[in-house]
Amino acid sequence: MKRIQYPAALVALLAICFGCRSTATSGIEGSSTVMLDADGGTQYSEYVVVNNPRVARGLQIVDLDQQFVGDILRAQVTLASKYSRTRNYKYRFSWFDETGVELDAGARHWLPLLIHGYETRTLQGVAPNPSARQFKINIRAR
Amino acid sequence: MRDGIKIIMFCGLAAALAFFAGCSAKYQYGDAGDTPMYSTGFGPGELQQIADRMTASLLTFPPIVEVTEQRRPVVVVERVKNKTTQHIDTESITDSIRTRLIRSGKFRFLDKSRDGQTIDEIRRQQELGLTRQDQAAQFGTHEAAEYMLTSSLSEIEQRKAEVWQRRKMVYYKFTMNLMNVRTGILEWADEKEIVKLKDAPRIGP
Repeated sequence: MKRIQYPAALVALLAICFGCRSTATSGIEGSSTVMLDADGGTQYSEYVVVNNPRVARGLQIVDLDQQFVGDILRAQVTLASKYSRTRNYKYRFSWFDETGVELDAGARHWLPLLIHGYETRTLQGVAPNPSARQFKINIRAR
Repeated sequence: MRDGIKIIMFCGLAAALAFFAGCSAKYQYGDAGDTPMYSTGFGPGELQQIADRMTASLLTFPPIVEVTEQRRPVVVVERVKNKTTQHIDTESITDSIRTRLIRSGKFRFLDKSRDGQTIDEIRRQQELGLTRQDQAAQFGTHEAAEYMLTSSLSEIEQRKAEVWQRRKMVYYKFTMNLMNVRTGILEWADEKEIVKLKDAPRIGP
């Protein structure tokens, strides 16, 4: 009888797992803020948060850079693949003003990112309007 | 022995319930900013990639930055020339680009598609006698477009059949130009290329 019980239990477990199957949508996050001094100088504050170690094992945020083109903030993020094979990810830029309020909240889209083995790749984003002082990039597995 | 049969029946019931629960239809809201890819046809993901690229490129192109630092030029958008074999709502591409450019505060736009309705409204204000004439809109007061945005979308499709697999590649290229209406000079141009791949088993859909 035990011979029948174990496969039956396995089938039940598989069916339950298949029914409840979901993929992790967390990833890694990088942020950079421009702080303008009263004397016209600029200071930058940057951080990287790993919400999904699996994504971080394959992809590294090497650099977060930003510059003003006219009065529009342009962000550049340098990524490096730590895998030998081509991997697919998605990324999204978010923009914030000097008070930390998100600009065009909810209007930003996830864009595809295909990165080849051990490749270093730069991504660029442009703020939706001149009031942006901070950007955030989210990267997750597809 | 009876316990064993009960366990088997319970497991079978649990498996059947889980199977049917997984197969039943579900309705829920999706994320408009993260649309799934179901085909190699032109979809919302491609629209968003194109709008993102074109807006970013135009807003950071040095000669355009120089112009928009001093004033907000008036732009008119032409319909996208659809050179693909697909029926695509190309107006939604230019609508997205126009919306982002307006929200950047750098450009102003004329909407040619509303000309008929605008003429009707001006006539209504002037002829029906309901509107104060000192406030009524006049013909000939619209601003002239300084720039014109023109664009085209083309497609190349390739297929390959292998022993076990059928492969399909669709290449899209969206090209956009900003032309100075008075001089005829193309002040800015950019293109966005997108490749969609399909690998399907030889047998099946």
